[in-house]
Amino acid sequence: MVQESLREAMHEDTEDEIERDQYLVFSGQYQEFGIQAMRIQEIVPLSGMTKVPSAPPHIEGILNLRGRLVSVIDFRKRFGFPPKDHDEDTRIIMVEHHGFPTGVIVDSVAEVIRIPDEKVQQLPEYSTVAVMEGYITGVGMLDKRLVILLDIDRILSAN
Amino acid sequence: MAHIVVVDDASFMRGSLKFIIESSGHEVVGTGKNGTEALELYKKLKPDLITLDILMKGIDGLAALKAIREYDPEAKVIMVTALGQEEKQRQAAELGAAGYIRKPFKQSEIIDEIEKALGEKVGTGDA
Amino acid sequence: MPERDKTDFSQFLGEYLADVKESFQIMSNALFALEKDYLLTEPLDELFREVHTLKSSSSMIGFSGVMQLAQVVEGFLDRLRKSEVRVYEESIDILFEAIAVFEKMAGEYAESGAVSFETEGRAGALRRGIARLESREMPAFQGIIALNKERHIEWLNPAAERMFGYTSDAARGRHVSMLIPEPNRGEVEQFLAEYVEKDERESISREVPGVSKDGSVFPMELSLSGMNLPERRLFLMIVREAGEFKVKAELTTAIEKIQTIRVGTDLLDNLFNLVGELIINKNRIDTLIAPIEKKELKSAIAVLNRTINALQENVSASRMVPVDEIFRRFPRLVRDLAKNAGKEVEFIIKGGDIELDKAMLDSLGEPIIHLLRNAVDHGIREDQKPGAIRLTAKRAENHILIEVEDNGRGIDIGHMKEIAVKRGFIAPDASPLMQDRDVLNLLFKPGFTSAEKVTDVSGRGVGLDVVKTVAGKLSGSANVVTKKDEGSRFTMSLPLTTAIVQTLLVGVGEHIFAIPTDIISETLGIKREEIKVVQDAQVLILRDEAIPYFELSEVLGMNHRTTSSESRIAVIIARGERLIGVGVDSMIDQKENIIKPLDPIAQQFRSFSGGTILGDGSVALMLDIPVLLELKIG
Repeated sequence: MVQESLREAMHEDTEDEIERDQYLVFSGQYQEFGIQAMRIQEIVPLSGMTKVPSAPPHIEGILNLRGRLVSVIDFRKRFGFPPKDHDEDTRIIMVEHHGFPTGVIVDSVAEVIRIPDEKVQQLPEYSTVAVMEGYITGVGMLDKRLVILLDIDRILSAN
Repeated sequence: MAHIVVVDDASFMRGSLKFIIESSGHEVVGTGKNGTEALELYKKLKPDLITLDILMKGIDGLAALKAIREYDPEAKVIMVTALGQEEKQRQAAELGAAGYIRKPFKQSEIIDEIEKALGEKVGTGDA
Repeated sequence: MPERDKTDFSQFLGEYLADVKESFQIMSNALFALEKDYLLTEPLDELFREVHTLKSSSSMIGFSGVMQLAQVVEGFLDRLRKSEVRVYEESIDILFEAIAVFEKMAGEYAESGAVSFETEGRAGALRRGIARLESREMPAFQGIIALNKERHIEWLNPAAERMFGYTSDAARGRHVSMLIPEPNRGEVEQFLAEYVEKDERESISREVPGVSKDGSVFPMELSLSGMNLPERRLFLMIVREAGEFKVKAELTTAIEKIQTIRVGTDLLDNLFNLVGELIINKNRIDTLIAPIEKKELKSAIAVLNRTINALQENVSASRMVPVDEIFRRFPRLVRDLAKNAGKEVEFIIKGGDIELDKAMLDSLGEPIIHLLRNAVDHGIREDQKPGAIRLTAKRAENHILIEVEDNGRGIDIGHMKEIAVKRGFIAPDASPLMQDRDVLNLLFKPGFTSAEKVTDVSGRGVGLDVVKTVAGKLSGSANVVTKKDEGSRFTMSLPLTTAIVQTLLVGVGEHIFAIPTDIISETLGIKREEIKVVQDAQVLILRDEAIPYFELSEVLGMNHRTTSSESRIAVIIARGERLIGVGVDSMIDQKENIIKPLDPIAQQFRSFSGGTILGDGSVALMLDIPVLLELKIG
């Protein structure tokens, strides 16, 4: 019986092949970052949030997204980049995280592009890359751009 | 001297294995080339031990192992595997395989494995 | 094969040749089938099996050339059947060529004991062809070369090592131009130098020739990017073989896409949220029309209310999924855990068909994993062959129970007490008086967990606080029963439906919080001077009795300061027999609210168990009073 459920479980991993290589590109601190587009639920302008007492500083607050409660984090604060005032370009990216939408405030959203697997490079283990180590799944190499691809789950999970 | 059945879909493997087993003093009482034949031979010949290739066309070694062990919970089955089949090997262990022979064959390894499996419980079988 | 036993398998050459002949036939047929439909997996499995056997028998009979090529082809087939590499027209051509080369090689070996120069050449071309296909498809097979500002090589990744024939160590410190063939060297070096000097943000790429250690030249696509590291700038040169492959599989991948679209759950989530929105708006309308005395309007609203309720029920029902959706992942986990722990475990799942709300089920995965890990690591004993772990879902009145039970050693409560005293969780003199249940509840305390880890005495309770936390967030509870040498059972009890809770809304500074009214015994306006300080603790005199009193702002660690002249609202919380006063600025409203779950990030803030949406669309967090008071008074 255990055997059967195991086999079933092993045949499970085939979903989610859709547009795996599409990425939402946004900018922050003069670099471009990418998150798998299939993980993005929507992009919304900045709006009022409920502050959470004694939450870590990078948690901006909790937002009402059409009846769902959504935590919103600030990408710059999360990575210790210098703060930047919010302006008309500021957006909240709604990312699917463990089945819930979670908001990420970014400087601006550029576009959704396809970065095929062959243009994605894993970073080898190398000491000086350790700054954002673990949060980067790879580097997308486009014609004239380098897009740092993020492991959004790790970014949102770790505190 | 034990009675042994050898099952492999490649005749080269059957021949080689039979040769090694017989040169060590045991008798190969039958050979088969797929899982279905394995079960039939086991029922018919009641050998002391049977070797099964893990990867075979149709009913493969794992399925045959399961069927044989269901038919006879005391059955001694040695699986023939290759490097890179650790997952299948692990499944075979769960299904009660008595041992493993790795391809490419090494005579000493095969003999050791067979003797070990045969020696595990005395008094079973009719050899 | 000098390292092998002396067994001479050459006497079976006849069988070998008969096998390979049959095998080539099977492989050709499989390829023809694959050519017709790129999506079929059986032909790839069949090819893999045949090449695999060919590899073994060739190695035994001593045909090393066949063996080595079979190894390369086997790896390629494995990547094809795992869909790591797509099936191109070229892939099929290459595999046909592989069969031809195998056949040629086997024949030559049988005849002369060696492979001809010409066949060796074909085998080499085949290997490079496979490498090219793989490097095109798989990031792992592309080369990365890291350069410093002077264009000296810092390291090569394994793919680059294979591509150029240098090890990373051998290449380190040497100039990148050694990877470029002579006539192009100057031009490429200039291009690299310009990029590095300009300190550009954008990466560039172009096609250039590359040269490997053995002198062979091949076309490669080179991309160059700068990366800002804290101390310096590093340049990554990424190379892959440049070659165009025909994608005949466009149509078939389109079919694949349709088959893998995720339907249902997202849509259901949207529906669920839209219903939530509807209810909020309905509440708003209720407030607006309250002063209007118009019978028709009221009855129309009543009908609307019924429809909305029915809609909510239906949508909720459609979100119910069997717990098996997550349960079936666990047999494998338990097996791996048991194997790591060197234990034998029989794992039994019951009630997999019990249904739970999808969102609820999603959040149960983690606590169940912790419970299973705990049962394997600490419940089951090494000498149990096998021990049993049972994961059960069952319905009990209006709750769903999720249980993880083991028949292992049980929890030694006396021992737990010792640890709890040692780590300062309970006072030494209180220890003998403590009930077993209260001792066991310490397992769910995060502090207790780490204390266990530090002392590593019994190790019980690693990460179990998450069990209580998650159960609490879902408006449920968690408990454990145990018997020494018989085992333990952990139970999470969860409500069947999404909660609609009567809440009191209170204000503290600019914040509004919700408190479930069922734990409030009363509220009263008080003056600052009614709060006394007794032995460093604040108390409120309520009907001649001194009860503990806290300012909510203070419990939540907010900066909000209250002035002594301010009048306060004391919310009196009934906690078992005890009453506790919680001070807030104001009382805003009392009404039924839909309590929304918090997302995983907000769930980390233990003070809140959910949130509710107010009439103006803003969010009020619901206080988890038991947790808050536990933090404050233990």
